[in-house]
Amino acid sequence: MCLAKLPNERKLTLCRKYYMAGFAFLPFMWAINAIWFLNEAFWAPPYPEQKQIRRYVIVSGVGALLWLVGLISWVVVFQQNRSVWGATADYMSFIIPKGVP
Amino acid sequence: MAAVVSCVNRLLAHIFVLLVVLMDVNGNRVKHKIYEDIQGDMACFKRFNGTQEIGCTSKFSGNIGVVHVVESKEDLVWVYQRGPHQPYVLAITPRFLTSEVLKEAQNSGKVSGVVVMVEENKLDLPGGFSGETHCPNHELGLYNDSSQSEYSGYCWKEPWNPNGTSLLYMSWSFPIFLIDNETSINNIRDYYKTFNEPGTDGEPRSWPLCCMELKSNMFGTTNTEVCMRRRTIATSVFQPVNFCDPLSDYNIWGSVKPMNSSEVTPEKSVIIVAARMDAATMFDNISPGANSAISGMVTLLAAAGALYNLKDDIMKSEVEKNVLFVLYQGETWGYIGSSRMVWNMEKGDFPFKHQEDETDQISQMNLTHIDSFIELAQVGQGMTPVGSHLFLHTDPISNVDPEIGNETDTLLNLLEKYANSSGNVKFERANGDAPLPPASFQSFLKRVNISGVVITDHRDEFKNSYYESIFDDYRNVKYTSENESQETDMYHKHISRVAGVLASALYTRLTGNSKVIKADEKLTDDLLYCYMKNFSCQMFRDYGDRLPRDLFSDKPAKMYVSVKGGEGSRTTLTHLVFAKLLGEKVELNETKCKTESLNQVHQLYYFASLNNGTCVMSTVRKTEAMSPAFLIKDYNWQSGEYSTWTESGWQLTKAMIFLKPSVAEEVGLVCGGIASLLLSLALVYFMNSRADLLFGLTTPPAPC
Repeated sequence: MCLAKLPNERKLTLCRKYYMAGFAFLPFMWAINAIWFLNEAFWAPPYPEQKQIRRYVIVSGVGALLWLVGLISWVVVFQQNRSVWGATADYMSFIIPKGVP
Repeated sequence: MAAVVSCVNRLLAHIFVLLVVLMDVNGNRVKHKIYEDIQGDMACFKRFNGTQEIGCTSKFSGNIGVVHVVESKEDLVWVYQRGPHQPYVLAITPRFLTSEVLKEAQNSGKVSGVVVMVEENKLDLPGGFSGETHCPNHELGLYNDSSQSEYSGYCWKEPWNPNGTSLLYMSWSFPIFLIDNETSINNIRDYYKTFNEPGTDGEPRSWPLCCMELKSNMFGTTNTEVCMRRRTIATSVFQPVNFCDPLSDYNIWGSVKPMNSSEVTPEKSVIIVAARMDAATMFDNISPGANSAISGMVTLLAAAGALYNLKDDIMKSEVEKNVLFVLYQGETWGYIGSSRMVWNMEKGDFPFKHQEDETDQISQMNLTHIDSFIELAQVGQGMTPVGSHLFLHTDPISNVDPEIGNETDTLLNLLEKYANSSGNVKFERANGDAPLPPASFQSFLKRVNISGVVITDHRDEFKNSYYESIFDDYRNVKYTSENESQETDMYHKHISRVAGVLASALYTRLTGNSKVIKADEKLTDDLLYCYMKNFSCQMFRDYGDRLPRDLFSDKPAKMYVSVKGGEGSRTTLTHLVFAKLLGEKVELNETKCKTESLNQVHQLYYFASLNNGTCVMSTVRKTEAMSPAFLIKDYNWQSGEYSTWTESGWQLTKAMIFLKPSVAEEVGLVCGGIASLLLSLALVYFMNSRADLLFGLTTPPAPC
């Protein structure tokens, strides 16, 4: 879908949909939203809905970034402590690596 | 003319295609041009118990190192002090398989693997070598440190196994492989001489050097608790990985008189005659156990056969005694088989849970039914120039009870009487104030006070200096038969003599009458030959004619207990031979000769190769020998009550040698490859864009 060809109000609804969907623990929605609408929010010639789109894009972007940081830190912490946490860590794992404590 | 030429061309083309097909068009894979496989089926693997892991593992992709053959101490020093091409794979002779050498290798950080080259003909035997500890099975035995018995410290002062290195119970960070294939050993030595051997002044050789890759990556880690838990989790999410499996197989046992549940078994009426049927080494696919397992096991089988020949007398007798012959499995690893039997007896479901609706079923047995216990431990090295000299060990704790003490005394007297009357067997009482040597009997004494004796070839420390090692083979017990039944061999006569004395004593206990019984020497020799020298011997092939051919190899039997679905062939064959020895022929044809239920008093066995088809009815059967620890819900793995040994799973074990060029040459080769790829791409692009100029074509060629 080419955003440039859409009417402005459709752009706003679409952006809002992605924004709302992100709250359902779907950080990818926010990431896509932020990247996809980046141009519309900041560099496209001004139009009335742009202000709102910009807000959604900023919140989505920050949200996605926070998720990313959170996930990476969790992965690092988990992998570092997997053997120390023992049974708890094993029950949290879906695939347990072979031959590693 | 043109037609003829084209015809000839076609014919030539056909011949060419035919030639190509006839010649090997499969081609040699590059891999096979680089690597040469060497024997890799005898790798050291990991095992776990409740608290630790033992054994070896390689990295996931295998360990690589420069081969260095170690013939003397100086070769080791050279590797640690001068060798510039680390990591090294040490190719050692058995003399260097000691914990000191391996520890030094591990600590040096310069060793990525070890191969042990065992040459059949020029065997370089160490003076004494046992992988076990000084006190085998001490922790799960009767006199363990937490038992607070006055004998708990005895073994540490007077070790049973002074040659023990504990090598079996150590954990190594590199793979260790055993190689006994002559071609493989020669390959290693030849390549080493040609490429790796340092100069006379110790000058290291330059690249290319012969390297070895050892692959034996183990799935399990840490301890039994962790790997069993992970196995359960992995299965629950449909990712079945055998991180580890409990050591498990079967106890095989049978009674002389049938035990029917319709008749009451009197208390203190069953004499258990036991031996263990497993041995271990740190390597896969080799566990000869000639003295540690086979000596006692064959004595038991021979005694059972000799006694059962007199079954008519025994059945007629009014004496209410019975003999239960039991071969225990997994005793090396914390008395797995015997502790399981005791556990089942205590729960009241030995051998099986009582079925209300079945009439023909074997009666239940519990600990109160046991009269006494006779165990054949290591008896192989009790051979003297004139006969046999063995020792009778008793338990000082239970014999404090005067009743038990008297019973034990009677038993010893009986055995001594028949030993004396045989002329060339001497049974000597071991130190009465010493604890029992490692024995299955200890599992029973942990729970119940019964009289009993453990028969061994040693009074104090083991005579067997290769206990639980790869050298505990036929040479260790001086067995000399080259093929089945040779008269010159003395060892099978020794085993037969001991079996005869035992059978005579048992006969007296069963009937009240005296009789001197001789065991069948041909049978013992056949059995010894099959177990110790050639598993695919005629006897085993006859008995196991229904088993797949590939179970039979011409090597000695592998006595390791293994895991479920592991090496069951030795158990199956022992079971069949045992059934035949303790069974009688019945006139049933092949289709009718089938047992309906394991609970039945008599089991039926069909041997197609014996006398054109024989159906044997016997009380011999097998029951599971897996530690109760794996069956008790929420068992505390650290409690030390039952054996918790498991074996890691692995994908494959493999060893290869190859020539490795210097790092500079390797990098140069890869860079050169990449450069030539980029160059060719650039060239093609250039030619494509300038095609008209280069080839002088302005218009595409017209269709012909």
